Amino acid sequence: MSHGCVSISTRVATAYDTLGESGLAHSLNEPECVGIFTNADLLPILSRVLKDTLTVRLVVYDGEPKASTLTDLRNIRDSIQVVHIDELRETGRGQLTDILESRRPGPDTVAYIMYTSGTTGPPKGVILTNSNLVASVSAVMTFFGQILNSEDTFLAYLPLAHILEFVVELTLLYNGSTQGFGRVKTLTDQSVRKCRGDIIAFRPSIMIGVPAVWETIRKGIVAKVNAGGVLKKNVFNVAYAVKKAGVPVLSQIADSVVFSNVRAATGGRLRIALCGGAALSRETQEFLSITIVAMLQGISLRLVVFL
Amino acid sequence: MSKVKPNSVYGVGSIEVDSNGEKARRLAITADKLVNQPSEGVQTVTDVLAYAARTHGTKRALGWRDIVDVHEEEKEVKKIVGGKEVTEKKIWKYFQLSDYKYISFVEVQERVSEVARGLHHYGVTKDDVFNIYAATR
Repeated sequence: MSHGCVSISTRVATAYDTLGESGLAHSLNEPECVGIFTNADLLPILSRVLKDTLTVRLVVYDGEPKASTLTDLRNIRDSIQVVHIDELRETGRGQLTDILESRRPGPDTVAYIMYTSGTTGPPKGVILTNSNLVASVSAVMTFFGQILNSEDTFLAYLPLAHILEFVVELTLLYNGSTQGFGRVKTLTDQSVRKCRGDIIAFRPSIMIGVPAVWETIRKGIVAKVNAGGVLKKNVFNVAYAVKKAGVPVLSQIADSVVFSNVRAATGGRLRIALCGGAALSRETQEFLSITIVAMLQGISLRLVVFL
Repeated sequence: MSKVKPNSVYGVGSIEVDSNGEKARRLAITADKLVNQPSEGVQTVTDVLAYAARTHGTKRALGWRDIVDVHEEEKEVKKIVGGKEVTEKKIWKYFQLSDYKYISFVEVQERVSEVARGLHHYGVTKDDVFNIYAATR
C-alpha cells in the first residue's frame, strides 16, 4: 500500500496502531491527509476520529469488518468513500500504466512522514525523502552485504520502530531474501492451536528477538528434553557437557546426533540469531549457542544506532 | 563491545575524511566516497522494487499466514487479593493459522502498480498525503 503511494509521488504519513485516537487525529490533520489505509479491526477507532479530520475523503481497508462499521463510516459525511483493498486493486488493474511514468518520484521527492510518539506533546512527523531511504539501504548493504545471501529467510514479527522495520524490509527486498510475517503471539507451537507456530512453519535462517523470545524457545527445548525420559535426558546432558568443553570429534558427534533434533525446534535453517532490546541472560545465551547456533548480542541495537 | 577490532571485512574501522571542506568520519572501506546508492540507477524506493523484480523475479519475496479460526480455552489463574489466594477463571484466545502463503518479487511490484493506479483513479495527486495506520502488514 505504502509503496503504491510512493510510486506515484504521493507522500505517506505513517501512524503506529498504538498511537491512540488523539495521535491518529493529529497525524491526519497536520499533513492534511486526503486518505487513509487501515485494518478492519481499527476502523471503529477511525470512525470516532473521522468527524474531526475534515480533509479525509478516501478510506481503504483490508480484512472483514462488520457491515454496520462501514455504514457508520459512510454516514459521517457525503464526501467519504470507503473501499476494500481488493476493490482498489481491481480498479487499478483497469487503468493504463502510462500514469506511473508521469508520476515517478525523484531522489528528492518526499516519500514518508513518519509519526513517532515523541517525548512530550503531540506526535512528531519525521520527513524522509526517497534518497534518504535508499542511502540507508546502501549503508546496510555495505555493512551486512557480506553476511546476507539471497537464500536467507527472515522472520519479521517485532513491533520495531517503523524506520528500522522499513529499512530492513527494503534492504531484504533489494537483496532477494524471503521475508515471512509472524506475530509475537503465534511464534511457538505452544501458542497456537491445530497448526505449527510461525518459527517452524516459516523456518527462518535469520531471526531477531528480544530476550523474552529466546527464553521461550529455551524453555520449549528443555520441556521437550525432560519429556523424553531419563535416557534421552542423560544423553542430552552428556552431549551438552562435551560441546561446552570443546572436545574434538565428540563435539561434532553431539552436533550431528543430539543437537540436530534441537535445531528442528527453530525450523532447522537458523544461521544468524540476534538479540537486542535488553541483555540476554548468560545461561540462555550459552544454552542456545551450544544447542542451536551462535547467538550474537547487541547487533540489532547497534543497527538501530547506525540507522 | 566498546572497541571495534579491525578485521578483514571493515578494514581499520572509521577514518577521518574531508567532506566539502569539513572534517567527517567515514567507514574505512568506503573512504573514497559517500555510499548513497546500493547500485547504479537505484535512486528511489520505487527503483528498489523494480530492481528486485528484475533481479529476483519469481522467487518468494513476502509470506504471511491467514487466521483460520480462534480457539478459546478456559484457564484457572491464581491471584492474591487482599492477602488471600483466589482462583479466577480466565478465557485465553489462541489462533489457528493457515500455512504460509507467498508472493514473488514480480507479484509485489504488480500489486504496488495496481494500488498506485487505483489511487490515481480516486484522484489522489502528487501534492496529497496519504495516511497508513495499520499493524505490521
